[in-house]
Amino acid sequence: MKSTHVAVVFMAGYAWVVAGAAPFKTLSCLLVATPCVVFVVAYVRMGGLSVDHSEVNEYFLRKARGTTLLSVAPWIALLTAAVALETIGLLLGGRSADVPTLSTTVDHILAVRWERSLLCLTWLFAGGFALLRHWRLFHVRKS
Amino acid sequence: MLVTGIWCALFMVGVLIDTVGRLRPDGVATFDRATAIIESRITGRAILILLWVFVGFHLFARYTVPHS
Repeated sequence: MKSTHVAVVFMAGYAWVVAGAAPFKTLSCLLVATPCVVFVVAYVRMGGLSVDHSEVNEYFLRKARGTTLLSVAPWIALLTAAVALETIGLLLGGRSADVPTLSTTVDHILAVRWERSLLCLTWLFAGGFALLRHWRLFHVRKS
Repeated sequence: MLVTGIWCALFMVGVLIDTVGRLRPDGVATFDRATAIIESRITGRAILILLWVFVGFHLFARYTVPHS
Protein backbone atom coordinates (compact mmCIF):
# COMPACT_ATOMS: atom_id res chain seq x y z
CA MET A 1 0.00 0.00 0.00
CA LYS A 2 2.84 2.35 0.92
CA SER A 3 4.64 1.63 -2.37
CA THR A 4 1.43 2.48 -4.26
CA HIS A 5 1.29 5.87 -2.53
CA VAL A 6 4.95 6.50 -3.33
CA ALA A 7 4.33 5.56 -6.97
CA VAL A 8 1.33 7.92 -7.20
CA VAL A 9 3.28 10.81 -5.65
CA PHE A 10 6.23 10.11 -7.95
CA MET A 11 3.99 10.02 -11.03
CA ALA A 12 2.26 13.26 -9.96
CA GLY A 13 5.65 14.94 -9.57
CA TYR A 14 6.85 13.55 -12.88
CA ALA A 15 3.66 14.73 -14.62
CA TRP A 16 4.25 18.23 -13.21
CA VAL A 17 7.82 18.22 -14.59
CA VAL A 18 6.65 16.95 -18.03
CA ALA A 19 3.95 19.66 -18.08
CA GLY A 20 6.60 22.31 -17.47
CA ALA A 21 8.80 21.34 -20.45
CA ALA A 22 8.40 23.38 -23.61
CA PRO A 23 7.00 21.39 -26.56
CA PHE A 24 9.05 20.46 -29.65
CA LYS A 25 12.28 20.45 -27.58
CA THR A 26 14.67 17.61 -26.82
CA LEU A 27 13.85 17.77 -23.10
CA SER A 28 10.10 17.28 -23.62
CA CYS A 29 10.78 14.34 -25.97
CA LEU A 30 13.16 12.76 -23.44
CA LEU A 31 10.69 13.25 -20.58
CA VAL A 32 7.95 11.48 -22.54
CA ALA A 33 10.29 8.83 -23.99
CA THR A 34 11.55 7.74 -20.55
CA PRO A 35 8.25 6.31 -19.20
CA CYS A 36 7.52 4.88 -22.68
CA VAL A 37 10.81 2.95 -22.70
CA VAL A 38 10.36 1.81 -19.07
CA PHE A 39 6.81 0.65 -19.81
CA VAL A 40 7.60 -1.17 -23.06
CA VAL A 41 10.76 -2.87 -21.70
CA ALA A 42 8.93 -4.02 -18.51
CA TYR A 43 5.93 -5.21 -20.51
CA VAL A 44 8.05 -7.17 -22.98
CA ARG A 45 10.20 -8.67 -20.18
CA MET A 46 7.03 -9.95 -18.48
CA GLY A 47 6.07 -11.72 -21.70
CA GLY A 48 3.28 -9.34 -22.68
CA LEU A 49 4.25 -9.58 -26.34
CA SER A 50 5.66 -13.10 -26.34
CA VAL A 51 4.00 -15.81 -28.44
CA ASP A 52 5.11 -18.41 -25.86
CA HIS A 53 2.72 -17.10 -23.21
CA SER A 54 -0.72 -18.17 -24.39
CA GLU A 55 -2.02 -17.77 -20.80
CA VAL A 56 -1.90 -13.99 -21.31
CA ASN A 57 -4.29 -14.37 -24.24
CA GLU A 58 -6.42 -16.75 -22.17
CA TYR A 59 -6.57 -14.26 -19.30
CA PHE A 60 -8.02 -11.58 -21.57
CA LEU A 61 -10.34 -14.08 -23.27
CA ARG A 62 -11.68 -15.06 -19.82
CA LYS A 63 -12.18 -11.39 -19.05
CA ALA A 64 -14.07 -10.84 -22.30
CA ARG A 65 -16.22 -13.96 -21.79
CA GLY A 66 -19.89 -13.31 -22.45
CA THR A 67 -19.11 -10.29 -24.58
CA THR A 68 -21.13 -10.38 -27.79
CA LEU A 69 -21.16 -8.17 -30.86
CA LEU A 70 -24.42 -6.71 -29.59
CA SER A 71 -22.94 -5.83 -26.19
CA VAL A 72 -19.98 -4.00 -27.77
CA ALA A 73 -22.18 -2.32 -30.42
CA PRO A 74 -22.44 0.96 -28.39
CA TRP A 75 -18.61 1.15 -28.28
CA ILE A 76 -18.36 0.46 -32.02
CA ALA A 77 -20.94 3.20 -32.71
CA LEU A 78 -19.06 5.64 -30.45
CA LEU A 79 -15.73 4.83 -32.09
CA THR A 80 -17.27 5.20 -35.57
CA ALA A 81 -18.69 8.62 -34.66
CA ALA A 82 -15.31 9.74 -33.26
CA VAL A 83 -13.41 8.51 -36.33
CA ALA A 84 -15.92 10.24 -38.65
CA LEU A 85 -15.61 13.54 -36.77
CA GLU A 86 -11.82 13.30 -36.69
CA THR A 87 -11.72 12.53 -40.44
CA ILE A 88 -13.92 15.56 -41.26
CA GLY A 89 -11.71 17.74 -39.03
CA LEU A 90 -8.56 16.51 -40.75
CA LEU A 91 -10.08 16.99 -44.22
CA LEU A 92 -10.78 20.61 -43.25
CA GLY A 93 -7.12 21.16 -42.47
CA GLY A 94 -6.87 19.83 -38.93
CA ARG A 95 -6.99 23.19 -37.16
CA SER A 96 -10.41 24.41 -38.26
CA ALA A 97 -12.18 26.52 -35.64
CA ASP A 98 -15.57 25.20 -36.79
CA VAL A 99 -14.72 21.50 -36.91
CA PRO A 100 -11.70 20.95 -34.66
CA THR A 101 -10.03 17.56 -34.46
CA LEU A 102 -9.77 15.81 -31.10
CA SER A 103 -6.15 17.02 -30.84
CA THR A 104 -7.15 20.66 -31.43
CA THR A 105 -9.93 20.34 -28.86
CA VAL A 106 -7.53 18.85 -26.30
CA ASP A 107 -4.91 21.55 -27.10
CA HIS A 108 -7.17 24.11 -25.37
CA ILE A 109 -6.88 22.09 -22.16
CA LEU A 110 -3.10 21.89 -22.63
CA ALA A 111 -2.76 25.68 -22.49
CA VAL A 112 -2.56 25.68 -18.68
CA ARG A 113 0.22 23.83 -16.86
CA TRP A 114 -1.88 22.21 -14.12
CA GLU A 115 -4.40 20.94 -16.69
CA ARG A 116 -1.54 19.59 -18.80
CA SER A 117 -0.15 18.01 -15.66
CA LEU A 118 -3.46 16.32 -14.80
CA LEU A 119 -3.81 14.97 -18.32
CA CYS A 120 -0.23 13.69 -18.22
CA LEU A 121 -0.90 12.02 -14.86
CA THR A 122 -3.94 10.30 -16.39
CA TRP A 123 -1.73 9.10 -19.24
CA LEU A 124 0.88 7.77 -16.80
CA PHE A 125 -1.85 6.07 -14.74
CA ALA A 126 -3.20 4.35 -17.86
CA GLY A 127 0.24 2.92 -18.64
CA GLY A 128 0.93 2.13 -14.98
CA PHE A 129 -2.40 0.36 -14.56
CA ALA A 130 -1.80 -1.85 -17.62
CA LEU A 131 1.69 -2.67 -16.34
CA LEU A 132 0.48 -3.44 -12.80
CA ARG A 133 -2.23 -5.74 -14.13
CA HIS A 134 0.32 -7.57 -16.26
CA TRP A 135 2.77 -7.75 -13.34
CA ARG A 136 0.10 -9.46 -11.19
CA LEU A 137 -0.61 -11.92 -14.01
CA PHE A 138 3.14 -12.53 -14.41
CA HIS A 139 3.52 -13.39 -10.68
CA VAL A 140 0.48 -15.70 -10.70
CA ARG A 141 2.02 -17.44 -13.70
CA LYS A 142 5.38 -17.83 -11.95
CA SER A 143 3.95 -19.19 -8.68
CA MET B 1 -17.64 25.53 -30.64
CA LEU B 2 -20.47 23.17 -31.62
CA VAL B 3 -18.07 20.41 -32.58
CA THR B 4 -16.07 20.91 -29.37
CA GLY B 5 -19.39 20.28 -27.61
CA ILE B 6 -19.88 17.15 -29.70
CA TRP B 7 -16.43 15.88 -28.63
CA CYS B 8 -17.41 16.47 -24.99
CA ALA B 9 -20.75 14.74 -25.61
CA LEU B 10 -18.97 11.72 -27.13
CA PHE B 11 -16.79 11.50 -24.02
CA MET B 12 -19.86 11.68 -21.78
CA VAL B 13 -21.59 9.00 -23.88
CA GLY B 14 -18.53 6.79 -23.31
CA VAL B 15 -18.83 7.30 -19.54
CA LEU B 16 -22.55 6.54 -19.79
CA ILE B 17 -22.00 3.31 -21.77
CA ASP B 18 -19.44 2.17 -19.20
CA THR B 19 -21.84 2.94 -16.33
CA VAL B 20 -24.68 1.04 -18.04
CA GLY B 21 -22.21 -1.83 -18.64
CA ARG B 22 -21.49 -2.00 -14.91
CA LEU B 23 -25.19 -1.96 -14.03
CA ARG B 24 -26.22 -4.43 -16.73
CA PRO B 25 -23.19 -6.65 -17.45
CA ASP B 26 -25.22 -9.03 -19.64
CA GLY B 27 -26.54 -6.31 -21.94
CA VAL B 28 -23.64 -3.90 -22.47
CA ALA B 29 -19.89 -4.47 -22.23
CA THR B 30 -17.84 -2.14 -20.04
CA PHE B 31 -14.79 -0.39 -21.53
CA ASP B 32 -12.55 -2.89 -19.74
CA ARG B 33 -14.36 -5.91 -21.20
CA ALA B 34 -14.56 -4.38 -24.67
CA THR B 35 -10.80 -3.71 -24.74
CA ALA B 36 -10.13 -7.21 -23.33
CA ILE B 37 -11.24 -8.54 -26.73
CA ILE B 38 -8.47 -6.50 -28.39
CA GLU B 39 -5.96 -7.43 -25.67
CA SER B 40 -6.60 -11.15 -26.13
CA ARG B 41 -4.25 -11.06 -29.14
CA ILE B 42 -0.59 -10.02 -29.19
CA THR B 43 -1.26 -7.72 -32.16
CA GLY B 44 -4.03 -6.01 -30.22
CA ARG B 45 -1.81 -5.47 -27.18
CA ALA B 46 1.00 -4.13 -29.40
CA ILE B 47 -1.43 -1.71 -31.08
CA LEU B 48 -2.68 -0.45 -27.69
CA ILE B 49 0.91 0.11 -26.51
CA LEU B 50 1.74 2.01 -29.71
CA LEU B 51 -1.42 4.09 -29.25
CA TRP B 52 -0.40 4.91 -25.66
CA VAL B 53 3.09 5.96 -26.81
CA PHE B 54 1.61 8.05 -29.64
CA VAL B 55 -0.79 9.83 -27.25
CA GLY B 56 2.11 10.62 -24.92
CA PHE B 57 4.28 12.18 -27.62
CA HIS B 58 1.40 13.89 -29.39
CA LEU B 59 -0.03 15.51 -26.26
CA PHE B 60 2.98 16.23 -24.09
CA ALA B 61 5.96 16.60 -26.42
CA ARG B 62 4.42 17.99 -29.60
CA TYR B 63 1.38 20.05 -28.59
CA THR B 64 0.51 23.52 -29.86
CA VAL B 65 -1.67 25.90 -27.90
CA PRO B 66 -4.23 27.40 -30.33
CA HIS B 67 -4.29 31.18 -30.78
CA SER B 68 -7.77 32.64 -30.21
